[in-house]
Amino acid sequence: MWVTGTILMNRFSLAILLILLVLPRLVIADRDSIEIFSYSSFTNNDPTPAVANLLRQKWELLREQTISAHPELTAKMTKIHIVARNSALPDPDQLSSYWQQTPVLEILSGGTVQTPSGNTMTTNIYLGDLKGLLKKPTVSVKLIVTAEEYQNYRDLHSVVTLYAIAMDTRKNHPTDRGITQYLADAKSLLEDLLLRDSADANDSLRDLRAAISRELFALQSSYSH
Amino acid sequence: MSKLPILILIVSIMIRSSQADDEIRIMIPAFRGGTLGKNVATVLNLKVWRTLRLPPKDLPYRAGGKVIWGTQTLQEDSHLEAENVAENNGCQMILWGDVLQFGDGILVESFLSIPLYEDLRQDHSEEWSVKVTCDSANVELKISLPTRRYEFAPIVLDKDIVDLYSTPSAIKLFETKESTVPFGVLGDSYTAIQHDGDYTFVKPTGGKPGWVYLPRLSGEIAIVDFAGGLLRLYRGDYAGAIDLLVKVSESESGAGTRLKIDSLLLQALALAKLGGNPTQKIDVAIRLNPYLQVCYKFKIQALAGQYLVTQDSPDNQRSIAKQIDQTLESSAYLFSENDEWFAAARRISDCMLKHSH
Repeated sequence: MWVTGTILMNRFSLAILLILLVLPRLVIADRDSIEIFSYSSFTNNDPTPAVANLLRQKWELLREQTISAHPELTAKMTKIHIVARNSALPDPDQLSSYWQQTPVLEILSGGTVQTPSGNTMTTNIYLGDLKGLLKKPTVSVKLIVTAEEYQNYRDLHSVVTLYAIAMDTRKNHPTDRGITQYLADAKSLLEDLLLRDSADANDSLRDLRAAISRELFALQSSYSH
Repeated sequence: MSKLPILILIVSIMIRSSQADDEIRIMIPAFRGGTLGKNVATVLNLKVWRTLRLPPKDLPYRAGGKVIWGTQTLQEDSHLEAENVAENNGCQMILWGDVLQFGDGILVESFLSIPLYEDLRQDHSEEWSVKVTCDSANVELKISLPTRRYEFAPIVLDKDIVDLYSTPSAIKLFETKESTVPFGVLGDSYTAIQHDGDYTFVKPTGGKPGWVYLPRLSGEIAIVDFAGGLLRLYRGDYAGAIDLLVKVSESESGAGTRLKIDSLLLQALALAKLGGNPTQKIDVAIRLNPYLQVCYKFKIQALAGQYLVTQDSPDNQRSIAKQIDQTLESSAYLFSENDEWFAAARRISDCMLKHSH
């Protein structure tokens, strides 16, 4: 009886502890981090630090440029930061709960492999509940690591990040007019990306284009009705 | 953030009209990436300089133009740092960047930052103002550049360019354009004097003048013509600005959608300053991306300007007043509810509708 009581108390304490840990996350209005987990490699060199460094630099520039074009988005943009995790991505069945419990906008992971056409990098960007009208919560893109593909690599992350920020803003501040401007900037970049890569544009990018167009159309329609 | 101004060693050129009372300056510091970065920046420096032109006598030029070359790179790759350096050196804009390796190739990243600060200019050619009297009160609609921070498409360097420009003595001086044997190298301090095709005649400080050959870099048009177009716009050379910016908006490669849109909007601004009707240019920009707030600001600004110049035609005024009202209505979802510019535009529109009935 005493043992059962202790177990019950422990379960009760655990539940309280979980509520205390999770509740603040649920109450947090805006998600503010972009997390990068380890990238696998076919060589002994870990590409993760280089990927994280590049993405951090690109994020800072995207932030500066977005604020200049849309000063009204400054407050939201200045809160977001990049976090490099020196660990493997949580198991697929844990990913969703990890995303729920952290204030993360997107979770990046991937790897490099050697192919006949050159070294190829795959990037998976998990958006959790911020997938909006995307068919899947993960955007996956494979790019050959060449100087010619650098811009696609750079712009792809900008597009997905702007989309994630727009979806997060829509969730917490549905009447914020900045949502359209994040999506509009993402649209310009994505159209260029698809144009450069029209021959083998993958399904993820096409899905992203359709989602951005539909989100923008829905925002326009909701205002006029 | 840099507190020290970049050391300026070189003034490439200065062109001033007789009426000039201002001077517009663009700074181009060495690009990060060692000797190759420095040489690529030198080439871009001379190419931007070539976009300057002597002012035709029949145009009301106000400002001279100057390209300033810095031998040091920025301390960090950020627009904020670039803007501080530009301001510390009295420049209205700064073209900066780096050379980096990705995969087994080499590419150039370049950025343009246009700081907003109180400089010594008496006139601000890049600002577009429309003033309307509404119920005895003056209401002003004012816009300027669509944005002040640009990132250009990277330039992938061919192997022969990388090989050629990786040494300090890469940019060689020749007696004539036809010479095949150089007599010296350009160095860090020089004044550009004349350009002809792919060649530029320069005078090294304390040295003998000569011709240098400037290679064509893929995608350079977007960078050079956009920066050159902005420089001309700031100088009040509106027709000249349109000539260069058209090349960017009609470029088949090297210019992304957003750069094309902004090129069109800047052409519209220049056209309005020349007394023309810029709405067609803005409509093309809107077709490229119908969700950008700034395009509708330019559209409404242009229509308000057109309303004022058609005062002798009540029918035209009525039609324009309706267009402004419709544009405001259809684009309202892109503006914050407390947007001051939109509120002023709404006030002007209501006033125009009332007076044109």
